[in-house]
Amino acid sequence: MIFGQITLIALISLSGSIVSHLLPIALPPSVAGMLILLVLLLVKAIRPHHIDRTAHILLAYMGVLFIPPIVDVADHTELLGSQSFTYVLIIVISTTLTFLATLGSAALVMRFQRMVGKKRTQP
Amino acid sequence: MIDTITVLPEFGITLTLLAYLVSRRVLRNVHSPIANPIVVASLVCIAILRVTGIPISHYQQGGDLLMMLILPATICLAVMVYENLDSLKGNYLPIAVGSTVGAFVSIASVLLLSKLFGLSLILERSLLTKSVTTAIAIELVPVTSADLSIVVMSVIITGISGTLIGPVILRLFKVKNPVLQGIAMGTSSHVIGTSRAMELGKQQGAASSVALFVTGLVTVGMLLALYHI
Repeated sequence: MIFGQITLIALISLSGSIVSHLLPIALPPSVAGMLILLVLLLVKAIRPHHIDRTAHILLAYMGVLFIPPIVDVADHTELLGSQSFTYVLIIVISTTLTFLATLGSAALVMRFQRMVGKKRTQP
Repeated sequence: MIDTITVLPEFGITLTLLAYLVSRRVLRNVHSPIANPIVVASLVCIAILRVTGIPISHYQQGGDLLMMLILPATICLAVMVYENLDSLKGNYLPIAVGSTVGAFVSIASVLLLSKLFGLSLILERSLLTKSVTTAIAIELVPVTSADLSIVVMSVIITGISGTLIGPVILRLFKVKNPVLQGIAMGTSSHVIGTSRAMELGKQQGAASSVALFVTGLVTVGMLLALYHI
């Protein structure tokens, strides 16, 4: 039932906000809520069918929610000033480095896992 | 008279939804990361507001209401992660390590490059969260004292550049492992990278969505340690 799913998501959002408020660190409410929901799913307190129809709709159209902050950039162009090119250049370089570092480290771990796995299978 | 209408939240909401609907329709057959319907819809909104002279503050009455849905939508990422965990058995460690290293390199390279190129402090701060999904980046704004709109723009430009550069690097290094491809796409360019990874294949999409989740968590931890405690 969609109404039940919406209520459940509202309840978890509220719990996330409360937990985030109570913690001494500034853990974002969405991260707190996400962790709460993941734990509830893992311990099977919530089953995917309790939430998935509404969740998939929200996930599929989440991008629409980011249009207002992007439109707001039009009012903040003075922050970019003459640095727009540098700004984009840094993003491109940093993203390339991030991609390479992730790829390299994950590949290393996989190779290591295969080595350990082979040793185990050998008598 | 027109002012009393545009100041209503319904105006901003309707304009946003219409702009998105039209952009998606028009871009339906264009398969390029640059033709991102969210970016195009935003440009359409900006153009309409400019031409009509309607103040952005009026538009944001509705915009603020839409943005309230970001919290529940982000929480639903947990459902996506849960649904993908099964197909990734045995690959948890590479995802955890790859995303952690990626999150670190993203933050470190932004700090380093900003100093090197003399980027202003507000822009530097607004780049720190560029590799995490928009919703988490938005909530980290008070932690990093960044500018909200620049933060969102940074995340989107990162996502688009990752989907452009990523596949080239994968081809260059002849990376064939689908899980490896997904980890790199999701860590470097979050949700936008994940939707590209889903096009590459089911396993790529699964790995990417879990990687973007881990990257978000690790980035939150690192930035809280750097700027808050």
